[in-house]
Amino acid sequence: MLEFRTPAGRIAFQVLVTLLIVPFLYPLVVMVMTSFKGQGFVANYSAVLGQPLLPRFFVNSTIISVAVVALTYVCTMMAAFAFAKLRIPWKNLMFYVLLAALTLPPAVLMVPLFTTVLKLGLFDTYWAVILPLTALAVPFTVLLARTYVIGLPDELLDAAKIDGATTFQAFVMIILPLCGPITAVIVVWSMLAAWNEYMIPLLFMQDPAKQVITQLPSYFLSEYGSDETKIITASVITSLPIIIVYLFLQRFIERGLTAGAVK
Amino acid sequence: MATLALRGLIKSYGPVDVVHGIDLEVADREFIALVGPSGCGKSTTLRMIAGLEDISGGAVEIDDEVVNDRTPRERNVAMVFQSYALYPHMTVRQNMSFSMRLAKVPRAEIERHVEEAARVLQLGPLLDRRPSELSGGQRQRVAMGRAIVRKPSLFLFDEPLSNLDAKLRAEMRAEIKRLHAAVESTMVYVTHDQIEAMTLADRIVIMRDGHIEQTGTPEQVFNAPQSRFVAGFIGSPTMNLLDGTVRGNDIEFPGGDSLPLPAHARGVAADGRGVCLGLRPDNVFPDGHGLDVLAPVVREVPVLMTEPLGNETLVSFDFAGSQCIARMLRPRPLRAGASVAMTFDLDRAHVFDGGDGAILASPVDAFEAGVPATPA
Repeated sequence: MLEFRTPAGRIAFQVLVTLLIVPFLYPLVVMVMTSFKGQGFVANYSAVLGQPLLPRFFVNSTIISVAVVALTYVCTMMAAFAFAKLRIPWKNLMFYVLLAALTLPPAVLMVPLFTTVLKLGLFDTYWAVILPLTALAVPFTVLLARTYVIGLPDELLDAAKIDGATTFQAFVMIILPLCGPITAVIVVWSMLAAWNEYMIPLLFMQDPAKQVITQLPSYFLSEYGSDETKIITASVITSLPIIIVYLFLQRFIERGLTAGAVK
Repeated sequence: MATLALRGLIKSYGPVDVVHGIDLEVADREFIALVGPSGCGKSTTLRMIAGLEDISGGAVEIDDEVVNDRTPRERNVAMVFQSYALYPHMTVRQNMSFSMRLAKVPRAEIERHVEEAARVLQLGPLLDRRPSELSGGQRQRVAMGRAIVRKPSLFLFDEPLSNLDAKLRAEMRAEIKRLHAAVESTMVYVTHDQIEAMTLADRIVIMRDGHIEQTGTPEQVFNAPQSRFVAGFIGSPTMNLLDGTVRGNDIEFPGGDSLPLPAHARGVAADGRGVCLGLRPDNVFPDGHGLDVLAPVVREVPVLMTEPLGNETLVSFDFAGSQCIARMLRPRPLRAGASVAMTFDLDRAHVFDGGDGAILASPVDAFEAGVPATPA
């Protein structure tokens, strides 16, 4: 921990940290304050929360986010364990190919993803959104999780083998329970990616009953004019679940992101 | 309870051989120690016995059956690791019962085995704690408990005491010795600490660079080392090893010092041959401060430093171009730089070949052959 012995040093450090936070905090504060403007807090939030399709959007986003989180977690942990602890031919090459996927901007992938979804007959289904979002999230989460799993002692796996565990049993009963911090990172990261995604649900699902929460603000956009305060209010409501999840898992996320940094 | 045999055991990593065709037989209930410097292949050999490493060549036999392709579980071995390798998220009870839960042993039987192992190792009050709540010695006992609860045919220890302080190491050595007596199982113990090997093992296997240098009881490897390497590795403080050349009935050393060639080496070390004279610190002492010697050889030597140990003092001195160590009983004060008359008991000296370090003559052979004492 950074420590400053003099009051002047502590004050200066506090001022510096506060200034660094401002660029990140300011848009959030402006967003919330804007949601109180126009017709006022009650009217804005009543109008947004009164949208008849809001519960449906919420349910759809939850279904997609939960599925993406679950699928990302399973794929990530199995891949990370294999990359970190198993002897597999061409392992390093496969890892580099996975990392290469990180360099591709999602916008560039829209057309090939759309074509693939169509060919698989998944268009206008939840899977049309779940599978691409999972595929886009996995490279980064594997990168993080692999580093974490490498930090777990090999002797634990040796001991598990001596005790009679198969590789899968050692993975499920020894490795996974020790991956709490990185699990929190995977959950929050993939949930953020899934919950906040706008383009893929917009393009890959046409049925209004399947639309997601990120499309809520667009209901206050019209050809004849936009109610900006209600658009902002919808954005605030859309962000709330993610903020709550992060606050609950913050301690684990910090441990997960720094695990393995120091031996 | 099992016999173990290694037949031409080889381990290679690509083109590099790290274990070069080891042959070893371990009798049922024997406690054998694999000892050697870091990188000699002892842990790799242990891991091949356990089934944690693939075998590149040769065979591991347990109870006369080749087990090369069997899993560790199928070999019925248990292992205690240097880092304990306890599962951090499980309690002591869960750690000890893990293997039996995997094997779907009935719960009542698991409880009985765990309680019995806990009683042997005095772990009863700790059963519901997690490893992070235990001291180093307690963790090591839990690791041993996890091993014995399965009643394996073979116990393997991979430097289990390396992470403990000196006092705890001494206590755990006694614990392991007691355990061997209690469970009467075959044990293979890997260590780089020759004191552990000497105090625990029925037989010691000294390894170097992937080969076995010598196998024998602690007394045999201490009193009759077959090579310069073994002589210098076993014993604390280490044996004094002095390189010189045979000239007639003497050995001449660099710097002009000389000593008589031990009587039991005459006839095997010809004139002009390069030799290495080995003398344990017990057999070199300031005149009057050691055991009785039949034919003492005395030389004036400069003292470099002294290490008082209470009942004895280790005296470092300069001789034959090397720094040597003498063990002084009934110590008196000696200051660095002083000249002291040092007695050399050459009847207890070992003579090794100056080239390959193989033994040429040893006092054990001399004693058995009835060779007379070395003249001063």
